[in-house]
Amino acid sequence: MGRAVAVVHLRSEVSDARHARVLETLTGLLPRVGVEGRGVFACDLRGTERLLGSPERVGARIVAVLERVRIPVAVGIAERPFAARVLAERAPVGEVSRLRPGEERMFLSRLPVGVLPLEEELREELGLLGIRTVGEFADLERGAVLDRFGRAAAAAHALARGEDAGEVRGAAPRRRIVAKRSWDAPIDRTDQLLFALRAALDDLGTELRMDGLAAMRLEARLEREDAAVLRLERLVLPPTAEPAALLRSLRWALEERPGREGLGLVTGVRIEATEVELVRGRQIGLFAADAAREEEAIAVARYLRSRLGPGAVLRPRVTDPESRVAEREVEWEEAVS
Amino acid sequence: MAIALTEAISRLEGRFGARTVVTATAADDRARTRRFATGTSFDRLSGGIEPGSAIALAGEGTCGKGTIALRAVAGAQQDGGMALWVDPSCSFDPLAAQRAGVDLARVLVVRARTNEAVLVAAGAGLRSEGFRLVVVDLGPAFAACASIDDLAPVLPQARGATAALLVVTDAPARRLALPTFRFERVAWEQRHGRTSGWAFAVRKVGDARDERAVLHASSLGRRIVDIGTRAALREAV
Amino acid sequence: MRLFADPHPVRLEWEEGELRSMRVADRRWTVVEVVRRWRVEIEWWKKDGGIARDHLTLRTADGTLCEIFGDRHTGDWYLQRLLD
Repeated sequence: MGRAVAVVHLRSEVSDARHARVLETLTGLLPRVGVEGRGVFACDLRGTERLLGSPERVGARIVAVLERVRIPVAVGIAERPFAARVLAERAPVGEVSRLRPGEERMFLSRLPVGVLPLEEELREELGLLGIRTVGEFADLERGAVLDRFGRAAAAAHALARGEDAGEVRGAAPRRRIVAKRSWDAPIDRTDQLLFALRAALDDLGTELRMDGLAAMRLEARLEREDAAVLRLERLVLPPTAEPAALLRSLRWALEERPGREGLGLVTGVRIEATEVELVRGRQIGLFAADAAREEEAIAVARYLRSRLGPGAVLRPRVTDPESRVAEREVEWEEAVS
Repeated sequence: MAIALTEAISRLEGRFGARTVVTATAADDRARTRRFATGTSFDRLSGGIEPGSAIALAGEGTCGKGTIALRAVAGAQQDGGMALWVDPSCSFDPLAAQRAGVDLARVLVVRARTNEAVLVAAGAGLRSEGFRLVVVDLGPAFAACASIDDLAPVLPQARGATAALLVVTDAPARRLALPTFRFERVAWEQRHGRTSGWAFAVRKVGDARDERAVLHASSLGRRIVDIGTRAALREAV
Repeated sequence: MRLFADPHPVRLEWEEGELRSMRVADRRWTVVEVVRRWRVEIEWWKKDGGIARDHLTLRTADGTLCEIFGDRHTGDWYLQRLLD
């Protein structure tokens, strides 16, 4: 599965409490949740299909879970958050709508230009120019939109054409959250390095907790005496400020680095939490505990595939239990690509 | 000692009634929440399978150890856990697994074709917190690339791991100290003059009580009937 | 139950029309009983003749139930399953 974003659109009254409740519920269910607006949440489903099922299934579960606490929502699923949002806003309450890859531009094209984030003035001007639909706006030449209408319009234009980056990201922290350590005697063994990293992560955890944050993405730079800086970057799932969990993430990043180059002589480290989210009491949702475990399991699968080669780490599927030929009873697929 | 199976079963059924599932029991509440069960009399012998522990299921030929191993996987998956099945003989049977209650979406099968690969796979599974159970199925002797004694390096990793380690082997360990459950076929079942199933008994090696769990595989292994343990049968009297 | 992803070649030893033993790798297994036999023929219309196999479920003297099949196109036999 490629990209898929599920946007959850809260219907009915959107109070602070409801907004927070839905956000808490979603972050308990899914690994990456961003806030698009009041009562509007974007959930990045990339890489979750094997673990959580199809996007439609995830959407249905979201609707069901929130229905149980009497919060009506609609869910729109598309490759990009903007199209998913527009879809969610138009979907009936309790429903999950999906745009297949390639359908987004056509879907948007028929809609009035007002669905795009454009200033009122600009919309009126476009109207005077005879441009009333998203499709007509999208057909304008990119450079001309920027020159004539400015950067904000150009951003809206990219949305209309499906050319925006379409990322659901955790927020960058307001101040840099960094921990550094260096040591006199270079470290060349992984177990010793992990021990040293733990000390740095204790500091980082303290910094995160002071601001009430959990790290969603870590970047570590290892200074080396005999080689270039070794850079590790890793998504942390679920987001956390716990040093032990952060260490686990970095351990996997070390084990999965391509080519399995040697550590070299490490003399220091700088670890930064480049994406964070607010710590909130995590509900044990339908998938939360499973998702974290399964993310680890998939990490093991990736590691083993890199060590043992393709065809070594597999998942079976029974395709024809009645087959008279045993090899047609099942299909085997690579657990990770 | 081989006994006429039909005679044995009818004796037992006449007195106690054959049961298809025996609920697992555990020593205390705290252990129960961590341990998982196969849903058979095996659980009375083992007390359930505890994460951070390692056990071996040993027995030659057709004796039922594979069946119990699959049920252990199903047990580990009960509350959403995942299992890693290390398969050096490339003989994992998905349909049999499904019949035993295994969720195939929650099991990763590693075709680790060398001794080293087996150690790498088992070690990775035990070091991770992603699995509740790591099975190393050494396979039939003629297709095995490793013996249970070769697993010595991963045993320390099982201690304190999130997962339990379960080794399935034809031959028990000679050097490795590992709690072992010995599987023995008790008798063949015959129907219309042809073999249609078998009864097997499991005992824990070195157990002073010498308790046995007895199960019956019919329809050439497609159906398992749990006869019970001798203690359970005595209690029922 | 074991289902070998790569079935193991076996050599069968017959005596007076009866299957006496089979060899897998270096091991010789004495056959005590032929429990079942059946034939599978599918997709015979294909150019390669489709799949044509004779299957046997066997019980061996050392207490193993297994399933072998013979490819009727090539005459080769393979060990496909072990029951456990």
